Amino acid sequence: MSTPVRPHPETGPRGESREGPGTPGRRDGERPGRWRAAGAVLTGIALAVAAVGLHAFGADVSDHDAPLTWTGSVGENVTGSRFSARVKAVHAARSIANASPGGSGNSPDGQKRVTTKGIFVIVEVGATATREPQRLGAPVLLADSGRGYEATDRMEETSTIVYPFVQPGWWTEGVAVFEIPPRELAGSRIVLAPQGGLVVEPNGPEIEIDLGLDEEAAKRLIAAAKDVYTPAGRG
Amino acid sequence: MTASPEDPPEGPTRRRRPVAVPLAALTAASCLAIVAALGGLATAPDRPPKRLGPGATLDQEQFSTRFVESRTVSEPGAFGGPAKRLLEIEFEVVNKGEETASMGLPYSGGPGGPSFGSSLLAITPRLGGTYGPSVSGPGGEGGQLHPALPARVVVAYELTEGQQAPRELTIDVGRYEFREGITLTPGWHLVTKGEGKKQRPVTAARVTLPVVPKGTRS
Repeated sequence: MSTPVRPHPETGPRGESREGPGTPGRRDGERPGRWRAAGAVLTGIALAVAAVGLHAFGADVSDHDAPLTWTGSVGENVTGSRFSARVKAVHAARSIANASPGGSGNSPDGQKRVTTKGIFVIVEVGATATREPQRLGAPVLLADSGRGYEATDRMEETSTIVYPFVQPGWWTEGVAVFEIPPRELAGSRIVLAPQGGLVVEPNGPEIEIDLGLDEEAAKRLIAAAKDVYTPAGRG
Repeated sequence: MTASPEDPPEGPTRRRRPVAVPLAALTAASCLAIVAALGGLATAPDRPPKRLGPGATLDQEQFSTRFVESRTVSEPGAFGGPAKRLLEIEFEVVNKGEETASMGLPYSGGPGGPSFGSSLLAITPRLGGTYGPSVSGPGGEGGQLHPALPARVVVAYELTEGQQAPRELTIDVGRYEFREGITLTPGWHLVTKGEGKKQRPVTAARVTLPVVPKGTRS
């Protein structure tokens, strides 16, 4: 970094040059420059560390497109920018009796049972639009573990909240049915969002409602699970 | 760095030649030359795919997959029509990811899709059928793989009249990896090799299943 100062062979053993004792020596003049260089290096290191830190811990690409989330709890009307939603009740069931479409694999009473290795969680939800009629996309049950469970496709869609149009002015009621391992129920939340189009909308609205189930409540709910859940609204 | 003024004037510092840097450069250059002369650095050869049989389990990173069996069944036709003969391959799949995935259709070219089916890279002998296979849960219902919830996946080919079912099937199965990038949606992608149009998924395991005749399903 600094130019080595070598004693001139022709000068005395102490290296004093022709510069007189009154003139300021080179090494004295070098001091501020050295400090400045050290400062520059430190600043450089600090900036590099900051850049690496921001890259590692700051917002990443997926955060830029993350939806805007309104949160609430069971029984509450949660108002988002484009729609409002509420959760009325949560049930559990071990199987679902869908209306049979006819054909093979039916039970004689015209129902088609679907079972699960986990448990079916039935969330009674309601939604109303702020301005424009719209339909909701597949609800997601967000577990405490961070896993996201999309509403099951083994339940006939016509009885779920995804099917009807959500209109402004009144509440549309329906269910969202999930298939999850029982241990994932405690601490879970339901996430509702308008149906997405072909192009993914960045920062779209979503409503996240905490089902308010702690370990105890989750256990009670599972213990009280119905053997068969029959979707409502069927003649 | 700075020689102290006490150094003797005729000290050896003056005659010291900087040899380390040229020497290092020379070594690096000769190493490079040797490597180039020997044909350069190539990527290590791919690990040969594992050979698995019925009942074996493969860790596909996103999924843990057990190859249950392959069978032929006949199903009574709908509305009293002629019976259908099906060749089915059954898997037991646990989604180890964070989100619900879809079962999806077997691989059909390119880098492959994000579903479980995409990792079924090739099924030999090729089973055409008029409509290709259907992929669903048992009984034809459901197409989702929820996280941490074991699910049965059935790939079913409808055999045409008089078509003989093969005695055994070999399935090339791929593996997934979690990737994110600027142009890439962060998520699970098939492990591939090659670039652009030559991009092909890598076979992680080759599974051979005997086809068991199972008679008629009610």
